[in-house]
Amino acid sequence: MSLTSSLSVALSGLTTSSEQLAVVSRNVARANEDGATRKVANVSTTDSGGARVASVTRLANPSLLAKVTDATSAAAAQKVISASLDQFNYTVNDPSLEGSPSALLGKLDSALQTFGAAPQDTTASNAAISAARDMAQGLRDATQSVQNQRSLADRGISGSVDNINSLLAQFQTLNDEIVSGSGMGKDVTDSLDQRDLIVQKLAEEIGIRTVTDGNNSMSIFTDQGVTLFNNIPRAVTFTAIPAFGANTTGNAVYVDGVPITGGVGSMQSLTGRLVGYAEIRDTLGPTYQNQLDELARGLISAFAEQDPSGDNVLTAQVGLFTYDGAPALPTSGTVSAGIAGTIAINPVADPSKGGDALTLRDGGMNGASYVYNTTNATGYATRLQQLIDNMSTAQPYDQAAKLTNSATIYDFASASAGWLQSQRQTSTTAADYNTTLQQRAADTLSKETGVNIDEEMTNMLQFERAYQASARLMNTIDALFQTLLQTYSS
Amino acid sequence: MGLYGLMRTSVSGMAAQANRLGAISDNVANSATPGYKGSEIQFSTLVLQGGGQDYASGNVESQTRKHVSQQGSLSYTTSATDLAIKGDGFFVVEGENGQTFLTRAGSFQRDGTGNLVNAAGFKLMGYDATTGAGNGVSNGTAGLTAVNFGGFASLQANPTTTGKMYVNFPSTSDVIAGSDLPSTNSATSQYTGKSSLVVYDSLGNQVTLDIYSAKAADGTWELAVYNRADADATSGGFPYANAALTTETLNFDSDGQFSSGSPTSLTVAVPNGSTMTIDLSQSTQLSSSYTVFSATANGNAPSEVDHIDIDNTGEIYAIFKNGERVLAYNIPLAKVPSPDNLTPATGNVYSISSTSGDILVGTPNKGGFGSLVSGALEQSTVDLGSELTSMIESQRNYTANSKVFQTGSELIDVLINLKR
Repeated sequence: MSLTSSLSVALSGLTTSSEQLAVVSRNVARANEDGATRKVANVSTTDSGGARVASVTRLANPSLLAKVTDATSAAAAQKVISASLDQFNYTVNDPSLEGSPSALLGKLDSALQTFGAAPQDTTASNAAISAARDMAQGLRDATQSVQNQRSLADRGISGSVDNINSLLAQFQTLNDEIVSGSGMGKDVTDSLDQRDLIVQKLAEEIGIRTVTDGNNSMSIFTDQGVTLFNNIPRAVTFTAIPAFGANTTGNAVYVDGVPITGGVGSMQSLTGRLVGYAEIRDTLGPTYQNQLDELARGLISAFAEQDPSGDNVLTAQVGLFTYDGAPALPTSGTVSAGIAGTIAINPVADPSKGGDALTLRDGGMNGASYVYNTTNATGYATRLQQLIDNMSTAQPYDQAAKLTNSATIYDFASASAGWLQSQRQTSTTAADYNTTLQQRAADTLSKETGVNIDEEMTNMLQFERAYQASARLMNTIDALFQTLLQTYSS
Repeated sequence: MGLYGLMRTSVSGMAAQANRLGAISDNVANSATPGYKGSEIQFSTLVLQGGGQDYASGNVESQTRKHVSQQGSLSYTTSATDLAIKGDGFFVVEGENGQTFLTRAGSFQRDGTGNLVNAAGFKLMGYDATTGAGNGVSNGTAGLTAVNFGGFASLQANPTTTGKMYVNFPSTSDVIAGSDLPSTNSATSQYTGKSSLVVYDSLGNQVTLDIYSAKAADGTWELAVYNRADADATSGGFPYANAALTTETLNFDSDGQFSSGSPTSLTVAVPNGSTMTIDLSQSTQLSSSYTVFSATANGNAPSEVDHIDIDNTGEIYAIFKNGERVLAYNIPLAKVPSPDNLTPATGNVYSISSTSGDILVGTPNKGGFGSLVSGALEQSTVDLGSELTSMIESQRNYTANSKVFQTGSELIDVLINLKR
C-alpha cells in the first residue's frame, strides 16, 4: 500500500466521520419531535480499503406501529361515544337537577296523590297541572337535546370526512415523494416519518390497515378492506343534514363507492372517530329517542279519557297529555316517532291557557259526553284514583326501545335511565382501556425507534475520536513525504 | 577498445537515465489524473564483441514499460455518471473524428446533446437496450452507438400490463343469490367485498378498476371487474353503463386455498390500454374479514427522466420523476490479451496495436470482465514515494556516468600531454 493510497483511505475516514456526525445532529435536533425515528448511517468498506456511508436508514417497527394505529382508532371511537352520552346524561338525565323523566314522573305522581286526597282543593289541582306541564316540558327538552346531539354527530362526521380527505391528499404528496425518492436512491427517511405521522392522524378518524409494497409505496384500507389509498386517494363522500328530527335518518359515508356507515352493505367500519359519531347518530341517539317516545306515548295512554259509562261506545281520546295527532290515541305498544317532541298539556285543562284545571278531576276534556263526574260533586275522586292506578299499571312497549316490553311508566323511565348509565359505563371503560393500550404501545414504539440522547452523545464522542485519528494519520503521511523531499534536497 | 569506448558507454548511460527521468516526470505530472497508468523504464545491455584480452564496453538500452493492466485504487465521488472499472476491461469510447478507443478514465458527464462524455472529450459507447439488447458481436465494436439521453428529454408513459391483488375472501360471509351477483350489473347487485386498482391506459391516463368479490356458494367466489368511469352517477356503483370488463369464478378447497383447476388470475382489457393480468395466486378463503394484503399494478403516467442510474453489470437505467426505472443502454467492456502493449494516445486512451492482440467485447462482471462501479473514479496508479526515490536514484546514476565520462576525458588529456 503506497503513501498516496494511504492518504486517500485516511480522507475517506474523515468524510465518513463527518457524515456520521451529520446524522447524529439530525437525530439530536429532532429528539423531541413527534414521530421522529432514529436515523442510522450505515458504513461499508470501499474497494480500495477505505470507508464510506452507503445509506441512511431509520429504525422502524411496523407491527408495533400497527398496534398503536389500531388502539388509536378504537380509543377515538369510544371517546366520541362516551362524550356524547355524557351530554345526554347532563342535559336529560341528571338526577341532581331533578329534571330527569323519572324524577318528573315521581313529582307528577305525588301531585296527583295530593290532589286525589283533596279533590276540592284548587291549589292541589293547579299543582298537579303544573307537575304535568313540567313532565311534558321535560320530555320535549329531552327530545330536543337528543336530536341536537345527533345533529352534532352528523356535523362531526362531516368534519371527520373533510379531515380524512385532506389527510389523504397530504399522504399522496408524501407517498409520491417516497416512491420517487426510493427509486432514485435518495434518503427518504424524514418523509417516511411524516407519512407514518399522517397514518396516525388518519387512524384517529377511521380504523385503518396499511400495506407497504416493494417500492415503498403504502396502501391504506379501512379495517374492513375498503380501499382508502392505493396509488391515488379514493373519494370519501358524505352529505350532511342541517337539522335532525326524530324521523330523520342520516346519510351514509361512502369510501370508494362503498357505504361504510349506516348498517348497509358488508363492509361497515368498526373503529375511529367517524364510527363513534355514526354510532351516536344512527344507533344510540335513535334508541334513546325511542325510549322517550315510548314514555310520552305511555303517559298519553294512561291519561286518556275513556267512555265514562264504561261500555266503550265512545272511542278513547287524549286526556291531560295531548300531542300533534290528537284527539285520537297513538297506537298501543308501537313507537310513534317524535311523539316526545310534541307532547303537551291539553289546553282545555290548562288554566294558563284559559282552561279549567278541574277537568282533570271531572273529565270532559273532549266534550260533555266524556264527563265522569256527572253529578258535579266537589269531592269526586274516582277519576283521579283511576289515573293514579293507570300510572302504576303495566303497559306494553315497543322492542325498538330496547328495554322491557311490559312495565309501568315509572319502571320504564327508571329502566331507560339505567340503560343510559350502562351504555356510558361501557363506552367510558372501553375508551379508558384503549387509551391506555395506545399510550403503552406508543411508549414502547418510542423507546424502540425514537432518539435516545445518551446514545447519540456516546456515538458523537466515538465519531469525534475517529475523525481525530484520521486527521492524525494524514498528518503522519504528510510528515513522511516531508522526510522524503528533505532527503532529496540535502 | 580504449578510452573512447568508455566515454561512449557512459554517454549511453546518461541518455538512459535522462530517459528514465523523462518517464518519472510524466508519472509525477499525471499522479492525479484519473485512469492514468504509470510508465517505467527498464534497461538492457548492448554487448560488443571484443578480442580475447580486451574488454569492449557496450551500451545500455532503455525500454519503456507501460503498466496498463495495473489496477488503480477507486475514489468515490458524488456523480452517478462517474464510472470506474474494478478488474479487467476498458470502456469503449469514440473520439471527435469517429475513431474508436479504449480507456479507463470514466469521469463521464452529460453534454449538451445528451451524450456521456469524459474529461478528455471521448463519448461513451453502448448497446441501445430499447431497440433490443444483444445485437453486438464479441470480437468487435459493431452494434455500438454513443450513449445518448437526448431522446429521453420528452415525456414517456407506460401502459399497465401486470398487477397483483392478494385478498382474503371471508369464508363466513353470507351467500349472495345468483340474481344479485355483481356480474348481473343490476341496481340490486350485491357484493361481499370491493377493492379498486388504479391502472394506466396507453396515453398514461389513470383508469380506476372496481373489483367486486361476491360469495356465490360455499367455497365459490365470483369476481367482476368494472370501469369506474361507467359507474351510475347517483349510486356511485351499480348499475354500470357497460358490462363487466371481465368476470371470473374462483374455487377454494376445504383448507381455504385455491382448488386445483381454479383460475388464479384475472385478465382485464384496460379500456384504451393494454390487456393486463391481475395475479391472485396468494389469495385465500379463510374465516377472517375481507382483507387486502397487496394491490399493485405497473405502468406510469407521463413523466420526465430525472436522472440516470448505472449498475455494476453496465445497465444504464433512465429514472423517471415518478420513480419508474427503464433500461436504456447496456455498456460493454472491451479487453485485449496484452493490455500493456496497447498504443497510448492523448486523453488517457489506448488503441489496439499489433502486439496487443485482438479486441474482445463483453458484459461487465461476467466471464472475466471487471465490474462497473458507479459514483467512483479509478485513480492514477502512480505512487509519488516510489517516483521520488527513483528520481534520486536516477540522478545519482546520471552523476556517476558523468564521472566516468570525465575520467575518460582526463585520461585522454594525460595521453595528449605525454608529448610536449
